[in-house]
Amino acid sequence: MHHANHYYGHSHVLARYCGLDDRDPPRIHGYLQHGWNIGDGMAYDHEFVPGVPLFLWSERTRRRAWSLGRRQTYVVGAPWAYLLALEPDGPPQREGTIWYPFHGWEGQQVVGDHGRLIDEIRAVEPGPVTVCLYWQEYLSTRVRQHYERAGFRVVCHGYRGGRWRDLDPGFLHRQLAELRRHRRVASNRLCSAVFYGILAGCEPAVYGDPMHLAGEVPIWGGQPRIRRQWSDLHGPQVDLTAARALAVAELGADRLLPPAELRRLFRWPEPADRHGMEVCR
Amino acid sequence: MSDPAAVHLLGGEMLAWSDPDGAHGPGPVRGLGLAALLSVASGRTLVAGPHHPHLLDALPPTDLTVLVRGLPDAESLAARYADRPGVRVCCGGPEKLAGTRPYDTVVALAGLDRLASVEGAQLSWGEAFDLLVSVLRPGGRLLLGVENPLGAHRLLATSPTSTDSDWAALGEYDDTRPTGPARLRARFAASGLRVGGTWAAFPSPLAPTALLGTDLLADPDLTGFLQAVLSDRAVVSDGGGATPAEGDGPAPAAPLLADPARLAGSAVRNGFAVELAPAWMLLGERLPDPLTQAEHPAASARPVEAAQTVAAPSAASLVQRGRLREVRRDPAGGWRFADGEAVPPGRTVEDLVVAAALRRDLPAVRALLTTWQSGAEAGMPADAVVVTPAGTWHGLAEATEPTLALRRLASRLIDVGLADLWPTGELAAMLTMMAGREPGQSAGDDGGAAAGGWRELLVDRDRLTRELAEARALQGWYERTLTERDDELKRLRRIVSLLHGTPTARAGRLLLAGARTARRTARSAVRRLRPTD
Repeated sequence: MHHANHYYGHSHVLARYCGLDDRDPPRIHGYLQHGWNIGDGMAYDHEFVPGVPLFLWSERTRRRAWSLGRRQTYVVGAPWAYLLALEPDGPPQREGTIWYPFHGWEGQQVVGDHGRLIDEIRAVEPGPVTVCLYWQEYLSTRVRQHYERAGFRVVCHGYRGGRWRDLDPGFLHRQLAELRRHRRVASNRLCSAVFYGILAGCEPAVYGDPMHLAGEVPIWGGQPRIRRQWSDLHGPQVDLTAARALAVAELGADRLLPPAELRRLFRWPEPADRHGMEVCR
Repeated sequence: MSDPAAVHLLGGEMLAWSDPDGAHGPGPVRGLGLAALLSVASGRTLVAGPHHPHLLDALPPTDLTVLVRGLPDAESLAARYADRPGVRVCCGGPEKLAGTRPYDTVVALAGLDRLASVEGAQLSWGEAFDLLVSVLRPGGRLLLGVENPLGAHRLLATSPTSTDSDWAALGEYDDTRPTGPARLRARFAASGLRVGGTWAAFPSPLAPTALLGTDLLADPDLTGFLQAVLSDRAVVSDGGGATPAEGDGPAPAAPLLADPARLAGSAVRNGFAVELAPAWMLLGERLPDPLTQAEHPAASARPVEAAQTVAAPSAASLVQRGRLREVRRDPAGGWRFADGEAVPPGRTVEDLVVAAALRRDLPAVRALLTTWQSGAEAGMPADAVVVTPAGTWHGLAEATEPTLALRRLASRLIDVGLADLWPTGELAAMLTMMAGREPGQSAGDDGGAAAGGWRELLVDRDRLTRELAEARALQGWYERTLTERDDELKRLRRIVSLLHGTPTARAGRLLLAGARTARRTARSAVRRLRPTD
């Protein structure tokens, strides 16, 4: 329905979970939350049509959305959590840290000192470091080389996609494979990737200059609020049990729906091959 | 512009949220009656939840902590109390209070349902209650508001309302919430609190204009007075709940299932007003911890003594026409207003008239109506006039037009099933005449049911349906009668016509025609013979 439902291959993961053809996921009848945020779960620039349901990741986000006047809000959990349910982890062979520098999205520019950030990463991380850049930064030879010269491995998970173009159903799969190779996940801002990493078994850390977007207007309290409310996740070392509980809550990993219920909610068809359901279970 | 630094952020603050503005929920708890109740507060005080600033103003400002969940609310309060260093405004979820230095008084008159923030723990009623008790020091006082899920306001509501603040409202399905005053008192006792008073709040939990102590409500002599209080239009319409000067008007009227005044009156008549109150306000005093008492008997006794120096709360606080009236027990017996006036025992004129009319004791009805309408209480509604056992009359409302008062009584008689006391449409006129007055031009029976609900509308509809059926039957009867008369007329005309053709009639007509011709001829001859001058 909304093009953002297909970001990062979210709809593809859910279609597969529901036993449907994930090469061409059906239309989700509603807005699917596509990233962790501290507002009502939706991107601030989305145009909302009254009566169209919102499919949110967590109960806290649903409460917040309700308090902001949104009514047709349903917690389904993050597509990431479904992907983890579909892809059981193998034997642990983890090493080093995957580091996600804060990035802008399409058309946004991050203002910050990458050099200083590299120094901080070096000072904190004991093992090898993989830096994951968003495609915009990855395509910028200057930014990429900055990290490569520091001796870091630089990767990119792929395109987010937008308006049904450059859709990348492999995005989350690549991210999962990378996260499962690393012992730690870190970033200079608490973001989806950190929660994803925690759920995928990484030890999290949030430290370093949080940088900012050119012309960034902090909504819902911005970084100061995030640092205060989720203080347990900030710092070079954090308590793993608390972090795990927070990630489960924020990604709604304890709220996942069975395929039949999810199909019903999205107004998706029954799978042609009923066996498909059993496979995905 | 307020200084946000003055707000103490506890965590879990709601950034774009306001409780008092009423846009996301029912607004803050408010009213002069509650302000009077706050006279029991003393020492280090905590106010948790959305309270109207005029309630906060009524508290000792030397060491006052106010906890709200919305940041704009906290900033606005911080600005309001910027010049009072003893006032500390905190923002966030209530769970952050755990472990703070205990308070002498904890006030949560808005209840425990609107303390939690969307960001933090969603405490059950029991958890929130235990939390507040835990920050109360021995001897300290807790003033708590508890909404009644079976209160008159809920029983009469057409549909449950859901607001932005009900993101996870358990309401009556919260099994940690004690139901009813008896279980509430038991819960207080189980948490080490002695109950120092219970007040039934009418007409709404958040803007009560009548706070009636359970002792007062249990006094059967006060049936008339209590009915008068609860049927006061100013009370039932929520009119006195706010301070108009502060721009906080009465809540918008929603259609109700029935006239709340009637239900309240019936509840009082049946001794059930406490159970049907929209909310209860409880005062609890935390008993000294037995262990502490054993170790330091002197220390634990001190706070209780200190608390006892605080004024005892009144038995009732009523807000009538923007003015607060407090009622206390008279040591000599009965009850008195703060200004010394005795609270009249007895029954309302309405109850007496209805009872007499149900018995069809019309002489008694006539006597009551005549006395009522010839006295100073003529313009007061019959349900706001109390007749004492000694026979004195006490009006407890503002006087309006006597005609309106009589029509309101007529409407009440219809409500109790006395529409057939007199012929259709004659009830108000008959009451007026029995009262010794001339019935007006527009004397209908249904003029006074303005405050009614769907029930009264249904009663009216049924009555009008019946009246319409009767009117149609009457019309049918008229039609039949008219047809019979027409038929009769036609028959008679036919007879006349027939008689027209008989020889006798023809001879008569010829004779008359001849006479007319003779007269015309004579007139013409006379004209010709008259000289033309």
